[in-house]
Amino acid sequence: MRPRSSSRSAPMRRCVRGFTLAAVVGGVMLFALAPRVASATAMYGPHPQVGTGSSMAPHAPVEVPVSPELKKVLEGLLCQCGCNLDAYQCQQTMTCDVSTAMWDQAALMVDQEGKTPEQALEAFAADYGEYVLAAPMKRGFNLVAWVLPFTALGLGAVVLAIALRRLRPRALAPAGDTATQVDQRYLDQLERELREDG
Amino acid sequence: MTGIGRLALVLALGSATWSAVVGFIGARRGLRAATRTAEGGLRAAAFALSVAAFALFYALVTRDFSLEYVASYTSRSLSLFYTLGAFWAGQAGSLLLWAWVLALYGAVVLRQNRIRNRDLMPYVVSVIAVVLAFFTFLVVFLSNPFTSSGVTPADGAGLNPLLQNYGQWIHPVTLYAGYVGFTVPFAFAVAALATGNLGDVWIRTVRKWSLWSWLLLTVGVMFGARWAYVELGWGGFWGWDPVENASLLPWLTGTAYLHSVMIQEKRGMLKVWNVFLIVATFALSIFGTFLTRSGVISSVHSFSESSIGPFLILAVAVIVLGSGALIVWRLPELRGDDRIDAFVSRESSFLLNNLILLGMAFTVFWGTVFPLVAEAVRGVKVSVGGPFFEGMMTPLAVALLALAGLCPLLAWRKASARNVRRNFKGPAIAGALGAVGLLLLSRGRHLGADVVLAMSIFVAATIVQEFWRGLRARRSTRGESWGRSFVNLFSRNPRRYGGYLIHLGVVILLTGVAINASYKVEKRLSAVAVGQSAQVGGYTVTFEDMQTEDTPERSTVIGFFRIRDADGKDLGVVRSEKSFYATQEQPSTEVGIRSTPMADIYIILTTPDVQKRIAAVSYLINPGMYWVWLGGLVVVAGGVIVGWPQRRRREEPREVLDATEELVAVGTDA
Repeated sequence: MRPRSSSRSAPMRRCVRGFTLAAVVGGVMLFALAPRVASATAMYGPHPQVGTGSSMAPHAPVEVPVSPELKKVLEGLLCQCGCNLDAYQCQQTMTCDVSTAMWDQAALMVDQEGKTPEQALEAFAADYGEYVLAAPMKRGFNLVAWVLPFTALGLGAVVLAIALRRLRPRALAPAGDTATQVDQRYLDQLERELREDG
Repeated sequence: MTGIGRLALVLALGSATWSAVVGFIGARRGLRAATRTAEGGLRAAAFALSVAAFALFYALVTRDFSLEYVASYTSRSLSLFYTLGAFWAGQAGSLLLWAWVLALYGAVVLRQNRIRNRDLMPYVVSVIAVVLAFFTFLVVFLSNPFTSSGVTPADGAGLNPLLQNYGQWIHPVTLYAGYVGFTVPFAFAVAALATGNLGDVWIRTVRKWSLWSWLLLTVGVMFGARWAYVELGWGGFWGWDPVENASLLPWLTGTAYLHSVMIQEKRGMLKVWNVFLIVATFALSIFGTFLTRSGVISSVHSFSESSIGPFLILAVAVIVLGSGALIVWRLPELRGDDRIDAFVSRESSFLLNNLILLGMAFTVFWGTVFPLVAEAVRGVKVSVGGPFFEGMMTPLAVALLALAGLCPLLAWRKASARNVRRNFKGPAIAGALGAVGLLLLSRGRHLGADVVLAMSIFVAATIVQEFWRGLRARRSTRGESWGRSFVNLFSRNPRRYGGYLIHLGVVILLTGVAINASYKVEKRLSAVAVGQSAQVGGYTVTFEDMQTEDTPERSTVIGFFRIRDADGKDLGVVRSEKSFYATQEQPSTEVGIRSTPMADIYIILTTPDVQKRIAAVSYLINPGMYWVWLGGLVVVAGGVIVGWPQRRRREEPREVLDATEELVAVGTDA
């Protein structure tokens, strides 16, 4: 016979089943996510620094997600730690706190707030000043930076064209075919050599 | 030795100043005795600076920490290799190197011109002596490597970890040797302007000086790029840093000069332009030193900032204004018998080449100084970095590449329609076929790279065609074997075929750059445990082990990575390091590179955790890098062939070489 108490334990069993299920699911989730959690708390870049997380090693290397948009933003930002590299490059080699913060901020803007790279760069310029941008914005006085080299090149081309026109004699002397001139020189050379050999 | 070093510097300054003043008086009044005295002064300065340089080497090797310079850049544990290289690790030593190399160059110029160019030499000596006196003044009064420490420390601060690379012995030295070398063509240009001897004599005299200076600058720039690639550890090789740009500026104008001077030699044209280019190249060399040393624009080379900037920018102003005034004064005589016979000719294509090179130089200059301009105009700080320069320079580089293929195929004076058809048919077909093939392969996803690669095929085909015609011409006229003909092409006409080799090097280099820019693969891993593998770009990289090495100066974590290709073939183990220095805030990176013609596997150990045996690592597959360095080597090889001293061959006089050259150029050999 089953003890009487068993009927009273039905809610308890449901409770135990629930806890068991929750424990299994939680365990599986923890098991699956543990490496990410460990790495996210342990490693570099947009995440906190070494040595603060779980001692459990990940089962597979954990890749840092870098969307093309995020990369574009990071490559458009000059790290402010004094390394003179862009934020993406600095993270790759120096991993300073400044570029880490910039990475986090850029990821927030692009991946979560859905800003375009241009909007994100604008927001950075508003926060840090224009100096943070790796290239000047194409507006206002900064346009001079972008336009002047090609303007100078265009002017140079015009000057060159005028110079070529002016340097070209109006009526060409009968210069003859260059090839013919060279042929003559070559024949002269051959004759000289034959004389020397002879 | 320290006292001897100090005394030698003072004597060098006195000798150089004496040489400059007396040389100028001798030049103006035509006093031969004064000129000889000035030459003696220059030799004395060279000797005194050599003594000072050896004194500094001695102080470095003996760890004489009573000298501030030695205490700042060396330490007892620093190897002899880097201890000697610390000579130019700081500003004082670098300036001494500048002055020393210039003084030695001056002595060589005196030796070369004992008999010839006696009309130009008084001014040449004066100009070299003025430049030498200026740099020696900076060394003696503003940045003296023999300055006492005050209190002698027990040990020195050591060398900046970034400078502890074999490149320390090549990059700064060759760069300086190139910068300084342009003083000699500049001195001859000023002498030609001052004396009115504006013919080809000075141009021919400085031909080798210009070429070797350019070549040394090329080596310096290439090694700088290589250094950045292996030491800075961001996976790239050119960051458009202001100081990198500073080295590129004289290189670009120097390249323009080396092309345009050929027109003056062949046709007696462009005298004003060539003088302008020489002056610009020298002024930009000093400007480069100013950018490196002034710290006026932030740079990764900020370890070399100081207060001598105003003196250097003043020197640039004097050079530009003084030379400009001389050019204007001589303008009527410089304007000579300039005649362009046809728009389609080698002369006009060289002019176009000059336009693009100057356009590139102006773009680099403008981008580099724009932060200063913007701050002056708007009071707002801006930065100009990679995105600006890459966007602006890429189309210009492609145009220059195209001209590298076009120029050599056009005849001097006038390229006839027949000449154009004959010379361009083959390469144009090769380029077009290449373009179609590349587009099919890439499916239009890398259009930029496809354009560059198709252009490279075209240029390479023109070069191959030129070699083929040269070989055939030699075989038919001389009956030589293929091998003998090939060697003789270089030995009998090094300038022409060495030049082609330089173009081929540029083609290879740009091909590598284009492939790298378009096909790079990156994988950033925030956590890799020892023993774990990752797939990247068809390779499997296994993090096999992590070890530490501790020295009194630094603690180094070394990661060992085994690489296997797609077929599982073991490509070996690469080590990547991170060093933490007691005296440095930022750690230093030593990337692991496995280089193959297909791609470099580039491993950066970003953040290691030794206790947990886990690390953040970046894996990069960098295709084309092998070709970048190979291209640089080919450029240098071509430059050495062109610049190698030649004995005139009696059996094959110059005019005969010229005739054969033109014969090949117009394609009449078939």
